[in-house]
Amino acid sequence: MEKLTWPALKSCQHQQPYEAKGSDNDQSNQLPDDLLLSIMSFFTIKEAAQTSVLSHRWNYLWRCFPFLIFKDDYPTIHSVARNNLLLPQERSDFTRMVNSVVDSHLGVAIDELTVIFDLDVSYESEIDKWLVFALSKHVKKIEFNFTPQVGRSFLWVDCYTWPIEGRLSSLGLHQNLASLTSLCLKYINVTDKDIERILLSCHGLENLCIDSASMYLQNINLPQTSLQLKRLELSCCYNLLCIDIKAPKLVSFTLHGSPITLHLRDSSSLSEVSIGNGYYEGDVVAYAYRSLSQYFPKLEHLSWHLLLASAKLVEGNRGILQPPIMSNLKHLELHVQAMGDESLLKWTYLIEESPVLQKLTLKFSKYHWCSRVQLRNIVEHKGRPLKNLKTLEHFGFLGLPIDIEFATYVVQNSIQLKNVIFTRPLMKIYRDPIKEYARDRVLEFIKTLPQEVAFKFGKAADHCCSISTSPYY
Amino acid sequence: MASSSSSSLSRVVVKSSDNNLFVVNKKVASQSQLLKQCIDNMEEKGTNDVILIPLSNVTSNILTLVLEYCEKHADFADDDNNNQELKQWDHEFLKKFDYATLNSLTMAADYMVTKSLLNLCCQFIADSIKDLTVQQIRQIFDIKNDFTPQEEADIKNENAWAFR
Repeated sequence: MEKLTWPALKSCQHQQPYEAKGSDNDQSNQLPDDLLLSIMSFFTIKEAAQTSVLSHRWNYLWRCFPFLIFKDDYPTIHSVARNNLLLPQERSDFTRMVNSVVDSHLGVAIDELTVIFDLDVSYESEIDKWLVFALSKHVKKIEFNFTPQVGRSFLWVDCYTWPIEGRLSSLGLHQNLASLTSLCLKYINVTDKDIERILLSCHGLENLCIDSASMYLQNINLPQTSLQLKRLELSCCYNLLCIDIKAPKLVSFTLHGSPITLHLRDSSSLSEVSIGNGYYEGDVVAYAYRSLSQYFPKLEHLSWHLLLASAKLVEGNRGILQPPIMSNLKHLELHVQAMGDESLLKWTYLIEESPVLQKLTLKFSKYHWCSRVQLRNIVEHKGRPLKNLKTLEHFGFLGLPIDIEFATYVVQNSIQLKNVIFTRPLMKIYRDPIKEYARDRVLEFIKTLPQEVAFKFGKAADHCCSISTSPYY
Repeated sequence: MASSSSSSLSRVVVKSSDNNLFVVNKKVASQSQLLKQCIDNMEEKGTNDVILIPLSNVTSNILTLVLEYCEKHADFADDDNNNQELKQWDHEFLKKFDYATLNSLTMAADYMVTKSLLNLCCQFIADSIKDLTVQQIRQIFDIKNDFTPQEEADIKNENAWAFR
């Protein structure tokens, strides 16, 4: 069959966007193209593609659709294993879809290219093509997330490699990076040189996220150049050794992984920090606190993603003994992965040094493999009153010593507490007796709440994999 | 002496395309970047007279609605605690209109640079047509199907992934 061409579309590229043929009376009710595209911007890419059959004009608009967000639509419940035998077919369907959209795209610019699917090096030429396409359209936001499916073993050599400095260097694409404001790469091999070039070429880059990068990324060393970055996230970069950057506009910084040499220079606007273990089974609190000590008192939002029990000593992850005064801290989050009999009471020192703290979030993930927990006695901790705390959010409540003890502490020491929100873990992964036990503990706990505190249940969320000790478990 | 702070307008008069006049206080008018720009320009010049802003693209029916929206949002401008209440109000506000009115309102919001109203209208329209059939959408937007059956089938085929 001959390749399809659309006369009307061809002419559209040259004329002003497709002209409605109706009389003037109709026109008053016809939205112009840019507003129809604004309406379409609230559609998923699939919904947008479905409008192509409405008329020539809409088919043209669809081919200019600037938000190319391709996601694996498999439910993201990690605990449900996927049939890996279907992967080759799913990959081939997925890449065919992306290819068909990219090949027929008519817009001069796109806002976003997001590709979230378990793809690897065998799709290199397709992914390269998408990247070149996006960069030629002055893309603002790129997200490539090639996280392998749960249960699929993978090797770093099989991951896609960022091509701009290597395979595609002859195309001189880094000047096309200039329009990028946001770049997020997950499960993609990048080198020190790649990141350096990205940081130096993307003059407007405000958001950079590198997650689960190869063993090649070791140093990000640019202490001399003032970067435009507002948000920087580096998670599970296995061999990262050193970050030394000057980022005067940095607002948010996330680092999950083993302790590294960390210098953030001139980041006087920094207000959000997230530190975590990532794959690393050891103590991360002390080093992070040391490296960022000058910024701690100014933070408004601090979140810790911690492993509380492991083969190594993680005593330091249980709290900071002599914290600074956190005079601006409004929201503190603790995401802990633990057995259930540990104590979080050492974190009360930090909480008590945060006079304007309004919200406290505890996310508790229990190790899947440990079924029996020593039910020790709960320690009641009378501390300094928490004057401004209004909300306690508690995810993954199982009624074990670690969560009851902490919730009790918060309730007993708060003066202004208004809302308590408990969200159960996804119960699929737990057996019935655990469910019942947790439910009974919640009911007991509700009875202890003062009258003025409103209690409600949140929607069960899939947060159980917020901390991973290795890519899979 | 004629610094921008020495003159300050409290009200403006806005004229619709069908020549009706609306007296609008400044805080409400400022919800529209177009009106705000006019006011700022006049204040810079140090005018103390009431200024008239003609809007040649907006009928009085639609202007009334835009101003109703601006008034509500101006009331809430200093108060970010009542977000939920405002969202609820927004939804109730738009729910009353048919598509023709929504289209005109969207165009007026665009013309008057009232970004939050524009976004709201676009999202509302998007949400309400999402689950409709092709025929229903054609009817609502008054779209004439200018495809031959073969063309329509080809396009469906080309984007087959979206129609599964």
